[in-house]
Amino acid sequence: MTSLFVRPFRASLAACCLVLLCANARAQFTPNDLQIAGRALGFLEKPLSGDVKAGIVYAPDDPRSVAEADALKILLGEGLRVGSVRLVPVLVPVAELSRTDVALFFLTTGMTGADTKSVAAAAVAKHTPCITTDLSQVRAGVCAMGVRAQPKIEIFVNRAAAASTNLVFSAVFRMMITET
Amino acid sequence: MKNSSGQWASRVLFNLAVRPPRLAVALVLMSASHGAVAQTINYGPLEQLFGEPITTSVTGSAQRSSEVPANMEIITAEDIRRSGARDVTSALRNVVGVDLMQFGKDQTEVSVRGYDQPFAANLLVLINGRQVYADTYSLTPWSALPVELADIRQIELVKGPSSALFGFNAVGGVINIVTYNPLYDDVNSVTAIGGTQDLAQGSAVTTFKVGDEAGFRVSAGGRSDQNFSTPIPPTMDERVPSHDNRGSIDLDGVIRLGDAAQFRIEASHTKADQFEVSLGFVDQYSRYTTDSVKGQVTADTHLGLLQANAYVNEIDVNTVPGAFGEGVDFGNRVTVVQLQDIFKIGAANLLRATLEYRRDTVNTSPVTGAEVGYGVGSASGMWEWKIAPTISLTNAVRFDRLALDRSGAIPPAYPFDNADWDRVLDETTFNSGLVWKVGSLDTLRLMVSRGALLPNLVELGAFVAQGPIASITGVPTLNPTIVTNYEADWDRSIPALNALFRAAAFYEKTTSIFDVVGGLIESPSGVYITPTNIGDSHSEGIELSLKGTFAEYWRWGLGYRFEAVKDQFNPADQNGGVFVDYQHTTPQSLVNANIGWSRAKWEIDGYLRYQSATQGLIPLPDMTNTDFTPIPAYVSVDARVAYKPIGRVTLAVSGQDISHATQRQTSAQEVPRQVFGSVTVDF
Repeated sequence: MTSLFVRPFRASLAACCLVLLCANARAQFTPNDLQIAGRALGFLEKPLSGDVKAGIVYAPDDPRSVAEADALKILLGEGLRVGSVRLVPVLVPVAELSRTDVALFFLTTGMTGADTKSVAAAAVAKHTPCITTDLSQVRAGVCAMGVRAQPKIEIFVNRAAAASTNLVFSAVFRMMITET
Repeated sequence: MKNSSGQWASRVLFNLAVRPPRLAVALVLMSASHGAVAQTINYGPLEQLFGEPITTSVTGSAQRSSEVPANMEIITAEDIRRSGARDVTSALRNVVGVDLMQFGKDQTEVSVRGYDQPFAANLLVLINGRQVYADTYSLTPWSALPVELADIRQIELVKGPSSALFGFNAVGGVINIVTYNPLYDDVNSVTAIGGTQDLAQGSAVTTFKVGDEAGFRVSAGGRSDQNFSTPIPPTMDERVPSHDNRGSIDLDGVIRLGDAAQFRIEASHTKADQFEVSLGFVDQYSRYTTDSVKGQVTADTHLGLLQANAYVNEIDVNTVPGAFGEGVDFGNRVTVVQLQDIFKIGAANLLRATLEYRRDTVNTSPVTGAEVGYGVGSASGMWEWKIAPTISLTNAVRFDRLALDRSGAIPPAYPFDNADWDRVLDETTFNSGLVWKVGSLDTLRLMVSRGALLPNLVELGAFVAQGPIASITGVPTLNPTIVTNYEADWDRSIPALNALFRAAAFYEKTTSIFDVVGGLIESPSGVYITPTNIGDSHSEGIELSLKGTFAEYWRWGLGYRFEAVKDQFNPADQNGGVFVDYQHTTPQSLVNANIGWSRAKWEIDGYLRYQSATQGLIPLPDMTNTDFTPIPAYVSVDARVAYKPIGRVTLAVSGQDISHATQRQTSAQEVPRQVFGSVTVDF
């Protein structure tokens, strides 16, 4: 009897919360998002430091994805210093993922289903974590980490995707983020 | 039988807690061999990342201050600097819901949500998690804290009971003073202060590193001043010295043990001579001498975040005039060993498991020759369940088994023998909190908690004074005070004002309140006056606060606390009859307001505190009882102006209670205006 009530209640509650979280989920990277992502890399078990090649993954056939990738490259400039790392941008067309050697991927919006599958496969094959502001891609396991600066700073980590891409955070940090 | 099971439990917990630290440390080091990040919390980068203070004082795990399942205030290093405070209690003057009784230049009693009194017992105070609360009298010797203001990263204040994490005595609230970590933080500063009441104060703090593997912090401070020169009420005047002194030194070292673990050692020594008002509302002069050593090993392992702590505090208190012409001299030793693991199960469950053993002893005085003490074995756990991304439920529970004991000589014609202290107390305490982030601007918290306050060692039998007509003694029969708090909080961000609004409503029930007098025992040699449990009390209230910033250079805050207290003491103990009354001495309304401006080389801040009219207690001429004396409503004003003439030098003028030459704030001396100037050099 209890489970008849509790399970639907929890499911409804979780659904409501996911709807709230999904609102404005597809958003371009802002300077604050990059600050959060870069600083979070300092809390890995093996923290990144110095120059970190950051691949900006985009779909060449999608003008919105191209525009977002260009905007993100401008934000990163010749290299954006955040915490202990300097994020050095590299534009990566989605078809060239397997031939690119970077420390992490930034995923732009506007990817098709096939593109995101390619990203997920490349992330696992190359043990390269993917970071996004599109939280639905974190829940789907395409990206290991999602960041959000507004209205409140939030960091979301997909545990399975993180484990398969060697994105292992320290115990203290894991207590302070949302894992799925 | 009950006693033997208590001793057995204590032995088991002792064996678990004392012998295995070596084993635990070895396990920690062995299991930490996978290259994890070392794990004392590096507050600075976490604060920069999340844009808000970080704390471990609510659940034992690291949390953002906006997400804790408790009503919490964090006073940052900037808040402390801009308050103009010259000591820790001054830094608490502007916190909403904090009650203050300023009895002397260096004696300010602090409590949370009422129930303040001389030797306030309800607030557990810690430095980096180490208790600095003195169990002899259940008080915090604020002047004898081994910390300088420049050492402090933040002061964390949790309102309401937190016994499920911290154990006995965390009933009204907890203050955890977090110092800078020398492995991560560079702090080098020298400050000199001079001012009214012949104040001369100095402090120095420095940190240094040995390669990347170790960091050390050394701080020292000293102070000399005169107590207030305002008249002392005749029935309180014991004509004791009025010159106060303080000296302190603190050492802190953090050493990496490979990539995965750290060892932290802290040691301190302080000495403070202080004019103060006693539990009996008479003046006395006390010398507090404290020594402490603490070791801590922390490691990030496959088993979770493991931590082993051990510390020893020695707090000696020497007081005149004492009792029946004899000074009182207590030497208290507290030894604590803790083992803790924090770990996650799945994505949604964070758990903490803790075992602790503590041994607490003090000699009897002024009749010497015996020792009273207790051992406490404890087991506690915490479960934080993220029901959904916006909802979390935290439950913490703790079980304490206390075994009381006494050894040594029995005074002639004493109404007890040592076997009367063979007593076991079991207490279960808990904290539950539901946190719901409603949308992007609002957070709701619902909380219920239960805490336990132990009778202090004086009341449990350490105080023994035999007089010609009547004698005084502590007793082994007192029961702990239990505080249960029910609370609903609402926080709302107001982006248009760049402000945060906070509201809290609480109901707190306190049972089995004990007091230092009120009991009588007939013995062949005469009457013994003893402590006793005197009854219950409850309170309800609200807290409202709003604080924010505007126009880049300004910051401001407003706070209001309403509280109504109702005592339900035994008829003979009402209205101050046993030197205690909370119903009439807790002010119903407290208002805080502040505004500050800073730009380039200048910082200017002003603070206002209003307290509604209340009553104070004052001894009757025969000293057997107290009576009420009115404390009118008052407004006190503090201010600070600071200027940096060159890069690393700050000149500041600060004032406390500056609106009046003198002002009645307690039943003791009126509080005079206090003004001081300071020079700080950061290097």
